[in-house]
Amino acid sequence: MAGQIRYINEVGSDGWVAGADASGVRIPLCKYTKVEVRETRNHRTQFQVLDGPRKGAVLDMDAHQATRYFGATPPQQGLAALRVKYGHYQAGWVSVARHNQLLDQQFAELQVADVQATVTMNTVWGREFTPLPAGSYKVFAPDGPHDRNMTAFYRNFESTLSSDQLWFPIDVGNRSRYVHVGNVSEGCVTVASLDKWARICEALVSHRSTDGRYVATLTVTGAPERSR
Amino acid sequence: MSGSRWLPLAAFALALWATPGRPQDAAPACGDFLAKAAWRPATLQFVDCEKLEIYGAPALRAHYRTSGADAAAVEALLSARTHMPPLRFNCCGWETAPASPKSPPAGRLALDGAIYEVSMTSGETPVNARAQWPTIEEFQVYVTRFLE
Repeated sequence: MAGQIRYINEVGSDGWVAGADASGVRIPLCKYTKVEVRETRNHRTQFQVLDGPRKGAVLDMDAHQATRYFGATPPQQGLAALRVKYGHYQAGWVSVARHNQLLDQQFAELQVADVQATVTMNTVWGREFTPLPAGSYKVFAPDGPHDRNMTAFYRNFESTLSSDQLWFPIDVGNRSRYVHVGNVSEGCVTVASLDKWARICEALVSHRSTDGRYVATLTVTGAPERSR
Repeated sequence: MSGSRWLPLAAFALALWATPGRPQDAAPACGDFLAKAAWRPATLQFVDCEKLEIYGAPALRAHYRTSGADAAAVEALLSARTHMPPLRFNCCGWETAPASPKSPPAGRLALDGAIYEVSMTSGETPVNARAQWPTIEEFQVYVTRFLE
């Protein structure tokens, strides 16, 4: 398979696979990352990353892992259409997944492909971030694995949850707002419908802009019932 | 007992021996990696070590915790010793975040001929100001060794 173009077609349950750089450090790659396989020697497959944040990196991984994770399916060219429409504000919403913690949620409804889900646009009030204003935003391909402690405990509540460490930065401000899974939002699009995350994730990560940087266009409509 | 019965076992042992790096990687022990490196600060408490899958690969991960009051000092120590990137608040919690997509994603610790990756997190929290770290009950530190 030397010289062949391949794509990351399978990932671990956290949403990532990793190749090792020359110093042995693991460099995580998300699904549909494009790679060129160079050679397989001593049970290691060497490859070059052709798009995404790690474009140009030369990495290797166990040859069996490469066989398992690399495939021929490319991402869809173009951006997914992610729509969010503001809904009601609910003070004291009970987060069962967070041990019945009471959270003040500005909810919205999300739609992408054939998936509809409830999202929270803000939970923490009176601080730096507020609900995302109505408008159109681009959504980047995932920037890197986010810490498992932020979301892994949601698996105790929703056993089908996977790829929870895959977050999508929204191209606004300092890019610390994300489309991600969870119950707590600080100006993010936080998918509270935990059982929908896997499908939403696939709908997003399976798309790429021509330059490979973006996966979706996010259109926010309506107005939050609570804005500050 | 016929000598030929030992041939498969001998071939298997030879294959293990002949594979670069395999003897020392065959069964690394899970444990307090920072203590083994002889520099775990007293403010960092070892919790446990487990084998799990990370990024689709088997790994050993040692788990430590420290109080919110001591977290800044621990972060500074890990950054100085392992070049761990500083923690950044991302909706919604503090986590090790590289300065740029090209930067190393975690700190690095060389031990026993292997590379261990070092990261730190508050977990999910609404506390988004560094000055308020002491109000966070505890931070977690992870030291990870990949097995393949």
